[in-house]
Amino acid sequence: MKKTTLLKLRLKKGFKVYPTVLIITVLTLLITAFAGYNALNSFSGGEKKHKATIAVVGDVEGTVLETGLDALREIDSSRFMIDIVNMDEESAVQALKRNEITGYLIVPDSYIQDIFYGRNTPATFVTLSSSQTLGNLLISRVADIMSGLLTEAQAGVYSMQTVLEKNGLAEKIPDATTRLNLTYATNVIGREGLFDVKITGISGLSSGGYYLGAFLLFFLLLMGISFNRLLSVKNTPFYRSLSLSGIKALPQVMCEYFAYFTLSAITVLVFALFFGFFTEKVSPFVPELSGVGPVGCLGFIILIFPVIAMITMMQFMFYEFSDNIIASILIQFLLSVGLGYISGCFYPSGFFPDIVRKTAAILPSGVGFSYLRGALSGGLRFVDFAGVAVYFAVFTAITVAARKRRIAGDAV
Amino acid sequence: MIKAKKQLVWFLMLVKRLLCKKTFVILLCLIPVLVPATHSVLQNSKSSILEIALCNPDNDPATEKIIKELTSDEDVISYTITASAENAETLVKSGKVDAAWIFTPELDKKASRAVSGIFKIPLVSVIQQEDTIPLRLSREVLHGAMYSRLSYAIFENFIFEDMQLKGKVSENALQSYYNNEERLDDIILQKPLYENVNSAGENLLTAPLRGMVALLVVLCTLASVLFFLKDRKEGRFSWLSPEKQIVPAFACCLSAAVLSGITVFITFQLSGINSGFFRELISIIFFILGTTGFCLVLCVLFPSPGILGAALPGIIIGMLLSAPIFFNLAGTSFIKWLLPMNYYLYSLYDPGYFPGFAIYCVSSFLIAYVINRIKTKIIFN
Repeated sequence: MKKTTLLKLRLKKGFKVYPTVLIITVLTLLITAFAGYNALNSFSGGEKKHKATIAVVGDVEGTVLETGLDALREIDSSRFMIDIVNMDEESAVQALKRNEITGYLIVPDSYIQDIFYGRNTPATFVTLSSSQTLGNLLISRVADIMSGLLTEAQAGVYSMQTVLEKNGLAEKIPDATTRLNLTYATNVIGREGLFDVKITGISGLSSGGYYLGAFLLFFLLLMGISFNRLLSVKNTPFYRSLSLSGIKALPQVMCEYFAYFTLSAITVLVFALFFGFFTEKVSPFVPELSGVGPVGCLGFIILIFPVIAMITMMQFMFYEFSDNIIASILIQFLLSVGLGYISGCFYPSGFFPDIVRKTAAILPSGVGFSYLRGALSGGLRFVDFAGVAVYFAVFTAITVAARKRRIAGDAV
Repeated sequence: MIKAKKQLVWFLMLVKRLLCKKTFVILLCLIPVLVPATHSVLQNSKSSILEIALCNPDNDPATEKIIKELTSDEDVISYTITASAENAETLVKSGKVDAAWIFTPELDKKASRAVSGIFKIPLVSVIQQEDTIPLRLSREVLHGAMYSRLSYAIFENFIFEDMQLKGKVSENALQSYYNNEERLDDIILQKPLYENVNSAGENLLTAPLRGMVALLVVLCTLASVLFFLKDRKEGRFSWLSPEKQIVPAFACCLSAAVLSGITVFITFQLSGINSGFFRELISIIFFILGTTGFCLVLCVLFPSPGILGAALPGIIIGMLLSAPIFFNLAGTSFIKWLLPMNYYLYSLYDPGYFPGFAIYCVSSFLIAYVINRIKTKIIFN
């Protein structure tokens, strides 16, 4: 058998299973796109974008608190980040369990009056401990800060009452208390004025661009599982006969790999073309996509071919090592979720401790992600390409060695 | 009784078959080693959501105190101190930090002017590449750290300007009244919905580990379904009537679910990701049964290993999104309660989910049985 015949054979086998893979991968992409859209939403600012919802439990109608909540909803800068809704406790618990709200605040009936008179009947902010998500963490931090603000304002109001009392102005206390409370409220509402915010514009990669790269990397890592039917079957007697007929381990591996790479590349190109028609819709979240049409998306995919080649070769190598379908899927899963997690596909890599960040950066997924980020931001460096190329060469060498052992009859 | 014995024999045989797969066993053994190690590294290391450069160009003592307060609590945001505003801006532009906060000189004096009047005088120059929600929330942290000074300035202004007591009360006296005022304890208390669960020590980075490891049970079981479908395609179960082929399918799912479930249970016990031995045990037993039922339904629904194999990434992503692992997305309720992962993760926190989990297990077995009967009747009649 000639090498070209083997290549044709592998491609034919690949295209036989491909329609199923393509249909299911389209579905996968739709789900992933939904996730990506949500992730981008939760990380971008803007009035109409995703906000955390907090329920207020308790009878606030006609109270000072209602005015305060209305102010938070209508004029406070937090309205861009937090939606405040009123609910009864039972509904709030159910909504929290269904993740419809980030948390709920139980406000005692005499909450504001008690603050005025120096009694502490605290409000309680309830969150779901089963989800230590980014949103929950930030909202909890803000709740801490709000508590601190109220405590400080109280100190100011009570000190003022003491000063007035000691200076023979006790009759002015009720009116002064209201006015000082209002001054505090006005200052809190206008707090953004204390900061002169200067937006320099994105010089590297926007957070939306980061997530697009992360989403692409995770998708590439997971795609290996879709091809398990093509790659998990090992026919050692056939490999041996090929070897005897002059097609040694290297051409065998390259023919099989080329078929797999071709199918993977076609899949990504099809999606890029499809995605290219929607880039303008996504560009508010991902400024890098502004003005990029279907042709630009195809160009981008061609630019990241080295990363696709490296990841597919890595997946191919692990398929070569596994002796059965369960182990091969398990390996692909552990690789995709594990590498995706520490390389920053789910949380930005900056969240991780230094040691994890540094380790992740030299792993294949980290090197690939660095290349993707460079390609997205237009700042691709030679070192990114070199890292990807080195890994590709190493994976190829290991795969060929494993195939040689398989042909020789040793267990891999 | 005889039927149960037959099932047990199938089960033991398939467990033995799985245990003969060297790579599978090695992988299972690696998980209880890798996960606790990762958990330990992530739990004991410093990590943060944002990195912010702080700049006090004139070494103002008031600003110094604010910086000290900010840097004493670096759980969500970590800080880098820079000497000059130019340096801080360079750090932002190079992407090394997410934002720079440059404090104005003579903060205390300016704070007094900043809090009086409608138009605010900026006290901090904030430099960012873009304005995201985490960065907006970070400004709340900054405002919180500055608020003690601002609150005092509001109080002082009110006494001296509004109440016109300047000259009658000294600045020192005001300061002493304000500082000596007894502060109430927390005005807003925070509590988790499920208070009886030991989630101490879990953070943003370690919390997803449980979900990711639990996903293994579903994936191993699905992989064993592929194994079964492949065997069936090759005719290894032809001696059984199509209707009865659900028996080895069940045993196949159960064997993989039990082996991976035991691995996951041991992993959680070793890593300290633990909500109590008995609750963990009961939850994992339910999870094994629920996963077996779920995978059995997929086994009777999917005609070939190729389609199920191709669908695996979709199933994994579906589970990652609908379960509270990373994002906790709203609007996934419909998918959520079709998957065993959610019952498992929620039941660890709330025993109230156990009855629902039991119903899920029973109904998934029933659905698998009914679909199998209908399918075989349609195909073979």
